[in-house]
Amino acid sequence: MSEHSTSHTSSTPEPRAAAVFGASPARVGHHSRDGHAVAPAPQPAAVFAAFHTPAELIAAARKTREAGYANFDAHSPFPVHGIDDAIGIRPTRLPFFTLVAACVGFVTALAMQWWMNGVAYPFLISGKPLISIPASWPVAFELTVLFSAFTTVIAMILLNGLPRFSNPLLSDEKFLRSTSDQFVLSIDARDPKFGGALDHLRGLGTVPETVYTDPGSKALPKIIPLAGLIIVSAMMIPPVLIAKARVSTKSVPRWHFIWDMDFQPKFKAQRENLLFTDLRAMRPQEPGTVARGELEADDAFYRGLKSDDNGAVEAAQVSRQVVAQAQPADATQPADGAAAPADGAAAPADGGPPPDPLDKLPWVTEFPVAVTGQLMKRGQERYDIYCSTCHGLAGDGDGLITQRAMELEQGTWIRPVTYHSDAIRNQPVGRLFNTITNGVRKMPPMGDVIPPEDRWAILLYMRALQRSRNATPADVPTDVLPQLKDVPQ
Amino acid sequence: MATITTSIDNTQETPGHRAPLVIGHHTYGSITETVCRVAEAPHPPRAWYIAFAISVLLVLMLGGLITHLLLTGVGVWGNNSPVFWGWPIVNFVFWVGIGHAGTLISAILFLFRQNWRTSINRAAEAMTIFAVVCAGMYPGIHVGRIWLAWWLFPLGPNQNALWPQFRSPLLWDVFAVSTYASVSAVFWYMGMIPDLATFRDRATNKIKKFAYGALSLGWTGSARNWHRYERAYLILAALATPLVLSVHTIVSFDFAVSQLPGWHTTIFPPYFVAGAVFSGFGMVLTLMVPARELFGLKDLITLRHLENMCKVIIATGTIVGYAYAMEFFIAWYSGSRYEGFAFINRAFGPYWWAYWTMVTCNVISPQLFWFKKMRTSPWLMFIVSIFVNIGMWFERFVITITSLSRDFLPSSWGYFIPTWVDIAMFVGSFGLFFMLFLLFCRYLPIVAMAEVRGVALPQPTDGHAEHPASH
Ligand code: HEC
Repeated sequence: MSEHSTSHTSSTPEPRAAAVFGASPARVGHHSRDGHAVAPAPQPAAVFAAFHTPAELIAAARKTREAGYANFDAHSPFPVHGIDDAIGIRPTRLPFFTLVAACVGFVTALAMQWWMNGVAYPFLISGKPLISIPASWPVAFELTVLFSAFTTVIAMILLNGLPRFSNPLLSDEKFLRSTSDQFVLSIDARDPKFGGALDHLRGLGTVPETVYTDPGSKALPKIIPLAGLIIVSAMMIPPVLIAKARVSTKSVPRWHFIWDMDFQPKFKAQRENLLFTDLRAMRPQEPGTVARGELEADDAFYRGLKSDDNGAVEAAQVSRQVVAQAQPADATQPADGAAAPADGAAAPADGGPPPDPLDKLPWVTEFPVAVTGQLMKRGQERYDIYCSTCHGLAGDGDGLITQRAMELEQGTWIRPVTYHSDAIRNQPVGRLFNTITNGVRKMPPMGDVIPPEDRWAILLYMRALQRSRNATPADVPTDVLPQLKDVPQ
Repeated sequence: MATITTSIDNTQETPGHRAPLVIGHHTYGSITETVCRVAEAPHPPRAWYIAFAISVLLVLMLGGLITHLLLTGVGVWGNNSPVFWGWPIVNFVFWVGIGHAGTLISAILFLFRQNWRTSINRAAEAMTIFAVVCAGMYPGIHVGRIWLAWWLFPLGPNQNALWPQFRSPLLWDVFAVSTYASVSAVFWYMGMIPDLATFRDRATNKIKKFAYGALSLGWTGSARNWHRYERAYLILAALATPLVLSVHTIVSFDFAVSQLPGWHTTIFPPYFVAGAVFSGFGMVLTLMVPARELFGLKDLITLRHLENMCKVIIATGTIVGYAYAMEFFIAWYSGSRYEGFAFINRAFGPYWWAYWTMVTCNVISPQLFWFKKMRTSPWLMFIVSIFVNIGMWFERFVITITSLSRDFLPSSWGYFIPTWVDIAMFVGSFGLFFMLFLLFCRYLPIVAMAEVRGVALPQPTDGHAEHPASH
């Protein structure tokens, strides 16, 4: 399809031009897109004449202007200098559009950076100011250029009345050379003096041509808008699907277009691995081996056991299993809250439990670490973190979790024993260490969470708590003594 | 049809007489003929087919490699500790640099009224855009999950409640390169509108008539249109001039704003821009020497044009050489041990071969252009231009790799080895570049006919000619 053969009614000339040529206006026919209408008589749209040099064109343009024509134009294969004066073209407003766009671009860039980094998403880097002009400058410059360049080109095209695909002039073979090697002067049919245009051009020593509006302008075949509609609707489907997927929830895992990092060729813990006969992906420790840095030969420090006893190490190793096996048996003990669910305030274990296998182990009675004020402080801190939630800050078995559990009265919670009973106070420190490491009855083991140094620190603090309940004024430093109230003198 | 008049040597300066910009007694019409023939010939030259076939194969390879990268991850590249910026950024900077000549020729030389530019600006601008396409590919795919590449831009609706960090030079780079790419493209397109109209008006088959008709927007060469067109062109040139300087400046900020020895230098912006112009002109020569031969454009792209480009190459090559020397001087003068080490390591460390390749190609080879014989023998300058291209790739390699591979911590030093994917992708990017350029040569006006007619041709003189002062 040639772009100028589909000329529409847009280029219909004014009726006065038609009158000049003695033809009836026949405008009705022009505006009809109905294929059944009688083809209207062609209307002249313009006349033009060709010249060979720019100088001839300028001279002709000047004469045409002097002859009183206003609606005429010169067409040349390159910008001819001096033609503006000859035709009387006024300077274009284009630069103002550029200027406005430049300002808009600059302000947009600064506002965007201020809002994004200063307000919406402030992100401090090395204490630098959130908004600084030097760092904003490059983007501001680029956006200024971007906005003004695009505006300039778009404004140039639109001010020029482009794109225009149905220009009657372009239907004349002779006119087409004006984009190659000829210089053309055209007078539009809308010019009031169009009637004398042909004669005027002949007077310039040329052989003018007339171009007509395309009478055969047909309406677009019906299939084209339909096809366009279908294509546009089809193109909307993917974005709509994506938008829907983004806002809705799904009960099945999302569809992985590209597997990304979600699935990696590796074995995860607790999964099957066919390489091993036991099918476990997570490998157990090899018997008879000690992992690097895990020898833990110091029994006193790591297990709270005296190591001068030959069997101690072995005993300590079994102790874990002992505790584990002891659990079911303990469930029947009176201390178990399950026996008396309604009675939340279970009393500390009293007489009558079966002999505990742990009783017979050689626990250390002295701290195997240096006892310092620093260790005490550390112990207090760790105790408050790890133990106070259940045991309470003072070790009375009234921590926040315990209080809440007792309130709920679900019967599954055991109130922790108080530290201040004789039974606990008299326990060797090594055994208490074992309690933290491996847990006891309903108390969970915490050896994996708290490193041994901290376990000793906690015990030191616990000893201090215990002593505070059974202290005499003699235990208090004399300089602090006056601060105490109710001290029996 | 004009014949080539070998007797005219327009590389000779005669006092009081301007050397002609185009030779061969051309007229308006013969210029149209010469340029349109390239696109209108029923078949392009055989060399075009061969080059096109090779390029398309390379593009297919590139496409396959990109798919491989996207499905597997960026681990297919050699980027690894300590060199996390490997070939992708080297190639990116290489291509962006090449993309500087086009806009420089069309904008800066326009403002300086260098009329000889009209014969080569169109092809140089096309080269710019295709080079920027190759460059832009790397940041796009280096994110690995290419469907998230839009995170580079501050786009809404913002579900993540995150915004890009505008204090990072990498973000400035996103703005600089995308502005440069789009503005160069509209500049190029706008310049082509009148020539596309010429193509449209000469088109003989329907498809061409329709395509060129649509692209030329119904241009009729009206004086009113030309008036606004020229004003727009001038404004665009004025905008593109600082833009072209800003782009490689900002690319250099990617390096200079970080604190790595060998990168953290204030000389980078001017040094990068000079290097970019240098490499860009090198690539223009590489393309134009065969193209003028192949498409019979020797009258329009004359020896004088080539010679002028050689002169630009000497000038910028010398600036680049000065910058290399100045880097060494500052490394010593600053008294910083790390700077000092970085440069000694560049020249004499494990990458000495890259450094001396760079110096030979960039500093020594352009000096050959001091000889007029070199500046006026197309095939000799073609060879030198290849050296310039090689040298400028190595410059980016040296800057990126040597600095990263040995930084402050000797324990983390390493030696970068590219993978086959790195190498094949770089080769593939040349395929993309040449494929686009060959298509351009075949289907678009390769020389700015309108500008050559108006500026480079001597205007016909006749009795009543009046040439009022132009605006
Ligand atoms: C999850 C709550 C909880 C935490 C945390 C907790 N305990 Fe216990 N603890 C208990 C309960 C419950 C008992 C009583 C167990 C029983 O009688 O079944 C107990 C008992 C004890 C006993 C007495 C053991 C015996 O021989 O009767 C000691 C000592 C003790 N805990 C020390 C600690 C120390 C030290 C910490 C901090 C490292 C700690 N507990 C953290 C719940 C806790």
